[in-house]
Amino acid sequence: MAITEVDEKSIHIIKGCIDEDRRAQKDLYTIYYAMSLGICLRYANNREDAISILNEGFFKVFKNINKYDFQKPFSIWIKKIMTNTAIDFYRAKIKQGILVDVSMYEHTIIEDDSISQKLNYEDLLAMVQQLPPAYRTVFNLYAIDGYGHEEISGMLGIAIGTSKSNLHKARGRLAEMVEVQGVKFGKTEEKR
Amino acid sequence: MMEKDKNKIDELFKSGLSDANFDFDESNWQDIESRLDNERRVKRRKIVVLTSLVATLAAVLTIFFVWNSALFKTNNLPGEINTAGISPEKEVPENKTVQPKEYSPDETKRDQDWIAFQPNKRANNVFQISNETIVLQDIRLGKIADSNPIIGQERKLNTVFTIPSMEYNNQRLPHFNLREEPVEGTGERLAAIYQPKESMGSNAQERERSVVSFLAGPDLTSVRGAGKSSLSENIGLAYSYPLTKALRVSVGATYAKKNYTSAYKFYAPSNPPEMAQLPSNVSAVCDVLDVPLTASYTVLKSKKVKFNVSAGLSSYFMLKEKYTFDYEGGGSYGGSQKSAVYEVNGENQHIFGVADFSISIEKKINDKINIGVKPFVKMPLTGIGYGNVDLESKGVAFTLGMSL
Repeated sequence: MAITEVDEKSIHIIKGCIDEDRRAQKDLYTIYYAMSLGICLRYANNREDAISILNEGFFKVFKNINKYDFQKPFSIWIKKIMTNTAIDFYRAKIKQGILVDVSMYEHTIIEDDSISQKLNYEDLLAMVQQLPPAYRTVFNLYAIDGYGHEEISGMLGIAIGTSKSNLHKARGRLAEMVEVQGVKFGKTEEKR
Repeated sequence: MMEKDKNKIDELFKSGLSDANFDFDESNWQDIESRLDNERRVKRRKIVVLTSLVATLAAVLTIFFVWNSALFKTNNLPGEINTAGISPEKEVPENKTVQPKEYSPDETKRDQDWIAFQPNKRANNVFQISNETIVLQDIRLGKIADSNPIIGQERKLNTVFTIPSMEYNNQRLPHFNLREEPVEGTGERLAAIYQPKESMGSNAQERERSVVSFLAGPDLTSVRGAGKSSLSENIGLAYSYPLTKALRVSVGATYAKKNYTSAYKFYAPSNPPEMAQLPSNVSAVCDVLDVPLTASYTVLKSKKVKFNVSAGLSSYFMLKEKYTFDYEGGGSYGGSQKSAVYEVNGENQHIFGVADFSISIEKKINDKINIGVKPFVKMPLTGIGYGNVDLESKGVAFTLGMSL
C-alpha cells in the first residue's frame, strides 16, 4: 500500500532515507515498488528496461530525498521522478522520432465495446510496449498521466505539433492492435 | 479518428493500466542496494581524497614555512626584532665607536640567535672587531655561531668569528669569516664585496628566468555526477615565461591517458548511433593531448622555495577515443551480444574547453634546477569527447624544472 498522505510513519521512513538508513530505504522501496514498476512498465519496451528504469528512479529518489517537500504528497513526487527517469532512458529514441506511414490508422475505430472488456492488464501493457518509444511516451503522458501537449513538448524537448502527431499515431496503432485482438477473441469464440 | 474513439482508446488504457499489482521482487532490491553501497563507498573515498588534499596542502604550507622560518625572522623590521637591548631611537655616537658598557653582553644575549642593528641615519654605525672595523648601514647580522659579539666591542682576530647569515637591503648575503676576510666599509660596500661570492650573485638570482618543466603524475578522472573515478596518467612539458617577479604565463603539452566509466545517461553524443537498446554503462579509454595556457602567481617566495597558485584554460585534442558500451541483459541488442566497442580517432577537439586550477610548491635544487609538487583540478567548460560528457580530473603532478 503506497503512502498517500505524509503521516508520521511516512515521515519517519523518509527521514530515515535522508539519513541513508538502509532499512528505511528498503521500506520505502517495498512500499512504492508496485506503483513505480507499473509506471516504468508503461514507459518501457520490456520488463528488463522497466526494472532498470525503476532502480534508476529509486536511486534518484534516495539521492534527492532531502529535497522532498513534506507539504506535498510523496506519491506524486515519486511518480514524477519515475516518469522523468523513463523519459531520460529513451530520450534519444524519443527525440529521434520514427517515420512510419500512419495513414492506415486514420479510420481504425473500435466498433465492438465487448472487445475492450475482454482485454486485461497484460494485454494492454503488451500493446503499449509495442509502440515505438516516441509514440508510447507521448501517449502515456497525455492519455494516462494527464499532461497537456505544451507540458509534454517541454518535457521531451519536441515541438507541440510533434507531440500531437505522435499521440495521434499512438492512438491509431493501439486501436489497430485492439481490433486485431478482437479478431483473435472472435476466432477463439468460434472454435468454442 | 473520431473524438469519441480517441477518448475510448485513452479511457481503455487509462483504466486498464491503472491497477497494476506486482509482488515485491527481492532481487530488484539487491541490485539497488549494491549500487547504494557502492555510492556510499565512493562518497567515503571522496571524503578521504578531499581530506588528503587538505592535509597535503596544509603539509605543503607547513613545510614551506618551516624551510623558510629563518627568512621570515630576518624579514621582520629591525625595530620589531630589536631584542638585543638596542633601542632604535637611541643614537649611536658619531665617534664611530660604541662603548661596550652601553651594550653589555647580557643584553646582547637576550636575543641569543640574532642581533638586530638599527642604522643611524645621521652617522654610520660601527661594528668593531679587533683592528678591523666594519661600518654597517641597514645591515643586520644574524645567528652568531660561536661568539657573542657586542657592538663596539673589540675582539681578537684569532677568535673564529663566523657570521652565517647576514642581510643587506632585504637580500641575504653569503656567509663569511671575519677573521679570514676582514672587511671595512659601509653596508653597500660590504654587500658589493660579498655578492660575487655566490655564483650568480644576489641580484642575478632575483632576476626571473624562463623555465622549461617536465611533469608527470596521476589523476582521478570522472564524469561529473557519475560518482566513479578512475586512475589516469599524465606526462608532459611546459614552458613558463616571467611577466613580472611574481607573475608568469606558461604553455605546455601533456599527453594524458584518460580512463572513465559512467552510465550512458551522462552521454549526449551529437551524432548518436542507431541502437535498438540504449547501453546501461560506458567505459572509455581516451588518449588526450592537453594543451594548457595558464597564468601563475607566486604567493610566497624564499631563496629556495616558491609557492604558486595558477589558473588557466586547457585545450583538449582527443587523439583516440575508445568506448565500450555495456548492455544490461543484452537481449534486444544484437541477440546475445552484451557489449559493443566504438572507436573515434582525432575527431574531437575542445579549444579552451577545460578550466585549469592548480597550486604548486617548487624547491630550488641549484641555480638551474628545481623540483615541485603540483596538485591540480581540471573542470570542463564544454562537453568532452564523442559523448560530450562533463569530464573532470583531480590529481597531482611532480615537476622537474630547468631555468633557461
